[in-house]
This record gives sequence, C-alpha cells and structure tokens, in this order.
Amino acid sequence: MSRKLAPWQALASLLALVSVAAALVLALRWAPTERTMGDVQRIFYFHVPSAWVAFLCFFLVFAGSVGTLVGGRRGWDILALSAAEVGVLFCTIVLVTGPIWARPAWGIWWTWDARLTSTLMLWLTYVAYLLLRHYAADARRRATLAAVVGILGFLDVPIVYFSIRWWRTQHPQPVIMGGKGSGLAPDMALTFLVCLVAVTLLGAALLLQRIRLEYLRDEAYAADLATSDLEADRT
Amino acid sequence: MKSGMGYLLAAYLFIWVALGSYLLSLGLRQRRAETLLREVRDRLVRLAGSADT
Repeated sequence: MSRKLAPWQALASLLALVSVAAALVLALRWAPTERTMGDVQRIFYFHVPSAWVAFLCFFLVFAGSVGTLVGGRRGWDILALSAAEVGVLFCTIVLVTGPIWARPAWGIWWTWDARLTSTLMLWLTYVAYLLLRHYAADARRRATLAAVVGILGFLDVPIVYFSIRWWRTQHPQPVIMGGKGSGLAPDMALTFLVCLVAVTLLGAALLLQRIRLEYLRDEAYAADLATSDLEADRT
Repeated sequence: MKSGMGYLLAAYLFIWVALGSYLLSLGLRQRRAETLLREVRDRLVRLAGSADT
C-alpha cells in the first residue's frame, strides 16, 4: 500500500510546492495592504486556510473512526491516526498565528471568548487522542478507544465554526459567507482562494506521507515479528 | 495600528518552522521504519543461508 500511494503523494507534494510558492508571493507582495490593520492582516491568508485544513482533517478522523468501529479494517484506523496528527499540526498553526495577529489588532494576545476557547478545546481533544494512541498498549483496544474519542471530538468542530454566529465574541464575524456587509476586495479574495488551495494541497501531501509511513511501519513490524518466530523455531 | 511587520514575520516564521519540523519528524520516522525493514530482510537472508547448510 505504501508503494501504491507513492505517486499520489509525489503529485500532491509537487502541486503543493508550486501553489504554496504562488500563495506566498500573492499574500506577502501582491495583495493590497488592509486599510485599518496594515501588513499584519496578511496573517489572515494562512491563518484561515490552516483552520479549514484542520477542520477537514478532523472530519477525516471522524470518518476513519466510524469506519474503524463499523468495519474494523486497519486502513480506517490509519486514516484516522494520520489525519489527527496533520489536523493537530494545522490547529497549532491557527492557535499560534491567531494571538500573534490579535496582539496588534485587539491589543491583547488572548481572551477567553467562545471562538478562541472552543478552538483550544478542539486542539486539546486531538492532542489527548494522539496521547491515547501513543500510550494505550493493546492495539485492538487502542483503535476502538481512539475511535470513540475521534467521534466525540468532532462534535466540537461545528461549535468552533458557529461560535462567532451564536455568541458575541472578540473574534470578528465571518468575512466569507458572513452575510450583509461581509466580503473581501477582489484582489484579496483571489489571494485568499490561492492560499486556500495551496494550504489544502499541502495538508493533502502531508496526510498522504503520514499514511504511507504508517503502512511502512506496519509492514516492518509484521516482518520483524514473522522473522522472530522463524528464528525461534530454528533454535 | 498600521504596519505590524514584526508580527507578520513572526507568524510566517512560526508556520514554516512548524511545517518544517513536522516534515523532519516524518522523514526520521520513515528512515527508522526502512532501517528496521532492511534489518529484517538481512535476518531472513541469514536464516535462508543457515537452512541451506
């Protein structure tokens, strides 16, 4: 399986490399400077797409977890594990770039409003998921327990997304699909779109790489076990 | 509030350091798995050799 995924991973990596280079040029050079916030607003072009990729990955954890509980095939478990790791990476980027943007924009690094708190909860849930996978000893029980956490953890994703619509928050209202008065200038919208595609491709490339690694590890451990059995039979 | 170039650089630097570190960790784990696989193959060859003699 690891070899089967190799060409797809290579293609995703190549596309990610090209699109990220274009996204960086657009976000840092081409996009107009925002009137109120100045250059610091350019954090937006990677902050929001990172949140999108994190949500997408956590959805894959949910799908993989359901597949693990229903079908029990190792492939679902590998998908869930790999997506959780990549999701935590992108969620970390969101949680760090957010406060760096908040300091000059709001005058504070952090506030316990609904959006920020629910995002932190989301991050903690999936870090706990990865810790559980790392420390639980029995492989079958680990996959089942992790699948339950993966399904329950996903309940926080809609809360994070809708928090700025449901409650009054320090975090701004949605800029895209936010209704009346929201929206981006055309040049900014194009830059955002390119960044969204680039970060999604980057996430896909990392996810495929992580899935390949897990199949390779499975192959190595299975071969190690079988060889040890053969050696034991000989002695 | 204008400019904020330092904050912008800090954010972008963090993004690439985080992504770079993750890629490095993937690479190291992959190398470890490949090394284990190679060692297992060597052991299998030795086993086959000892069976022949």
